[in-house]
Amino acid sequence: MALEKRRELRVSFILWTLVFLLELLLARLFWIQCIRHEHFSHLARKQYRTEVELPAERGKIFDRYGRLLATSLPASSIYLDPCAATELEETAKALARALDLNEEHLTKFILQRKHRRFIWIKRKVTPEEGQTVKRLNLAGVGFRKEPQRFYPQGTLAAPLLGFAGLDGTGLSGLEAYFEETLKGKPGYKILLRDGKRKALDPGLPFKAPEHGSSIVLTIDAVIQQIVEEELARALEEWEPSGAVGIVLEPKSGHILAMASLPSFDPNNFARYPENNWVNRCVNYSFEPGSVIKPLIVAKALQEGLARPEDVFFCENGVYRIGSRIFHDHHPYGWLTLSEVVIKSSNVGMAKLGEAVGAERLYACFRAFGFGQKTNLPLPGEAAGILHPLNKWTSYSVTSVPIGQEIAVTPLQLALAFSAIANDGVLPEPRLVRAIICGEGKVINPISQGGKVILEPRIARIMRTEIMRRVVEEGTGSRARLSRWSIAGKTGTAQKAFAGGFSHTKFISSFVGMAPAEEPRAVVLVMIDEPHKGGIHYGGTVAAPVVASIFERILAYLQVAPEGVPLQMASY
Amino acid sequence: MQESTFWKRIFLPRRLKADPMNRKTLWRFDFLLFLPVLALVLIGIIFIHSASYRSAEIYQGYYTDYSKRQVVWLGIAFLAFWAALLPGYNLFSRYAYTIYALGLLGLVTVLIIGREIGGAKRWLAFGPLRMQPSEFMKLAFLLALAKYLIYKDVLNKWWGLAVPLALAAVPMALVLRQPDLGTALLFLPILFVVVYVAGAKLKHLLALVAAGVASLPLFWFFVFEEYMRRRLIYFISPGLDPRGGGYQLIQSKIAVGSGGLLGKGLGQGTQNMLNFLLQRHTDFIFSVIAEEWGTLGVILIFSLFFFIILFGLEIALRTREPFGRLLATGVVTLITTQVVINTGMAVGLVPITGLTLPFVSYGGSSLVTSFIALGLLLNVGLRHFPVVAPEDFQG
Repeated sequence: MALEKRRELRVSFILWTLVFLLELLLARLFWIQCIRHEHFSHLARKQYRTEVELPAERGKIFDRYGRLLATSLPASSIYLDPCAATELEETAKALARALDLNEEHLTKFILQRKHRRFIWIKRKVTPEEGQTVKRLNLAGVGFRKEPQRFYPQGTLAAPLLGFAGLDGTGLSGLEAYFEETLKGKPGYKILLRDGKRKALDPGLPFKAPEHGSSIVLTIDAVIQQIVEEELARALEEWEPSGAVGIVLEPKSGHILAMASLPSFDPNNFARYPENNWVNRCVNYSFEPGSVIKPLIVAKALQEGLARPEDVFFCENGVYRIGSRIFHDHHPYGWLTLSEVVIKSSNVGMAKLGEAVGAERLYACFRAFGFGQKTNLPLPGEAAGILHPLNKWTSYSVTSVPIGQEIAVTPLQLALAFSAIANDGVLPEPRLVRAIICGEGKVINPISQGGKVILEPRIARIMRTEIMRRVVEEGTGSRARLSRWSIAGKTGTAQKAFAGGFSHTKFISSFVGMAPAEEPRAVVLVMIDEPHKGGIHYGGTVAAPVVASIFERILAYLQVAPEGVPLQMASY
Repeated sequence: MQESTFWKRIFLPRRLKADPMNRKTLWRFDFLLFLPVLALVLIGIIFIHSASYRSAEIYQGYYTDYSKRQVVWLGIAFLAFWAALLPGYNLFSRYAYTIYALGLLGLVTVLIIGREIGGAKRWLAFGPLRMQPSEFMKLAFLLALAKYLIYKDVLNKWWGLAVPLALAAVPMALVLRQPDLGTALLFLPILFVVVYVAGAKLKHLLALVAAGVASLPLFWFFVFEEYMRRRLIYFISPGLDPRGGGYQLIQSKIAVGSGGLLGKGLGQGTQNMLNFLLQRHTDFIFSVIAEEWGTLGVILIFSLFFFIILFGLEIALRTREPFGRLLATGVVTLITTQVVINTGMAVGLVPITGLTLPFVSYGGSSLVTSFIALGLLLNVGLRHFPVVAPEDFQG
């Protein structure tokens, strides 16, 4: 009995031991499956799910009539999987030959990374290079389609448009400013990956990419081309360090052309010095010099402080205020206010400045928009320099009217003269005409309308009596047009540097508007440091450029010629 | 009937001796033990299908559906099952040593002319069929051990354990040569349990275990081969080589863990269907079940095995004839140990060794052996040879 009972107990003991082991396993399973479930689910998802990005197309950039300025094209990029390649060094040599790369560098580059599964060899190759590599049929070499930014007009308006980098992100100019608008939103697709890293498409619903919006500019590619051609000619003639040209439509504030030379080819931007990428129209500010004089005069007329026929004694060319001496290029005696502008007398302007006074001068500059950004959609816009009144010295009232102690951007200057061209209304500058969303919806930017700063009568006097005579009798004679009247003003500024003004570096400028009666365009040209033959006068260097630009764009804009008998025109 | 008094007999085993008569009919066949086994085999076939079937358009006919082959093996296993069930088990008792010797012969043969797969010589090939002699050796060993231990009083002494140890050591050494650490280690729990039930002193067995543990460092440096050491290292920290040595353990835990309470659904397991898990239809079928049927499926599997343990040991309890009792206990231990090790592998409690889940995993030798073991167990349950025991005279 006792023996048998003990043996039965031993079997029972085995039973409970085995059951205990099962319980232990169940506890472990409960821990893994129920308590740490989330953790393991996450691990599982991480290894079997991959999101593949569906890239969004970058928006295009058009000129005002829909001419394509920037677009994206599919380009092939070549990569290498060193683990799949058979003869690494042979492969490297063949690729270097086909793609015009340094053989030694490439071989070293590949051998250093021979355990990776993916290295870029050359991105965005030309179709010919792609064909060559495809024909080589090398093991481990693969192709990927990547969108490449392409600028079909080459260098046209390059500093304005800017460029996009290798990954398609805008790096400068409009491309950078409108990055968010242009780039769109990529979609994605979920793929499964199996244990051997092979991707399987389960056909799950995917999110389609939202393509980027396209931008229609106010720029007219033809006018832009004309301006760049004329500036290039001036560049050749005067060998300056740079030149800018702006064409504005005064009524609407539309910027028809904005050129900055020397320029670059955005398709190949890396080959040009970084200085060429800069849009000098908005990113640089200069002391404008005499070209600013009509604005002061307009303010004085507006305030009723002077009349065009009032006479000023110009001290025969030398005027001393305290320790400061003003010189005119030619000595003048008595001049009317109009003649002060026409002959560009510094002494006369200094005296006018004293008459107008600091507060009104400051208010005048503020009203014309100096010292403030125009808020055009361009990155890195300069505000210029307009010192607050409390920083003005006793000399300021005399230096400011001749365009010193103040720095303006070419755009601000062109815009200020648009107020005179536009019968006293300072227009809001516009660079973007419309934005076309990915789905085709068109958004027009809201215009705030212009700001009235001069009476129309005053603006008209400025144009037709004073600035027109600058060209007809004064310093701007080389800006004369063959078939249209033109109003304008020259400027020759010594470049300021720490402690004084340079006697060898000048900025020659000319701002013009034509036809003088009813201007269709304001054109500003600034030539930075012309240094050929020691000639630097705005009237000599910049005025002819403005004239040739006007000759071509007025014809292009089909503006009726003046001075041609009406009957003849009707025949 | 047997069923109505079943629970009483489990928990009040002493009432057993009250009815030793009229037990020699086939109606004594233990359906409560047989039906869970059938259920396990069916679940096994379903999951072998799930683990090996792949849609043709993605995998281009690269995969074989092993569930059909398993059905063929099931037929063979049934034949073996009846062969083990129908003759009285005293026949196996009589030829126990012969079977043991044949088993050893098979192990030697496999070392000489065996087919090498994945660096291990485990298989003997008969045309298209392959079998593992080590699977059958487990049963041969059990028969020989039980035969040897009938009425062995020397078990009271520590040296009485020498012969049982030797019986285990010879096949273990041969299996280790293949090499197959998992199967070799399986001999130890059978040895210990059977010897214990036969009457060995617990303190002797514990001393033996302690000696084994103490000599582990010796084993580590002198007996273990490089692959065994690496397996143990990756068992402890699979993160050392997540793509190599630790891969399977990590993937199995992810499969089990991501299954959750309800599972991902049959054929929906990502670890299974996307081939992250390897050896899915054989050694790691449990991970597939845990992934696709979740904790509920696991509980179902464990309940079925629990019934096998319960009713198997119930047979051991009601059999007073020592060979039958030792045989029944040994069979239950054999099956349960494999279950514990196999599922322990899947959840990282036991180092990964090549062991199947009895009745469920794909594998001919495994299925046939398991069914022979089941046949022997039911055979013992069917027959109660009259035994004259001292208590029959004590009243």
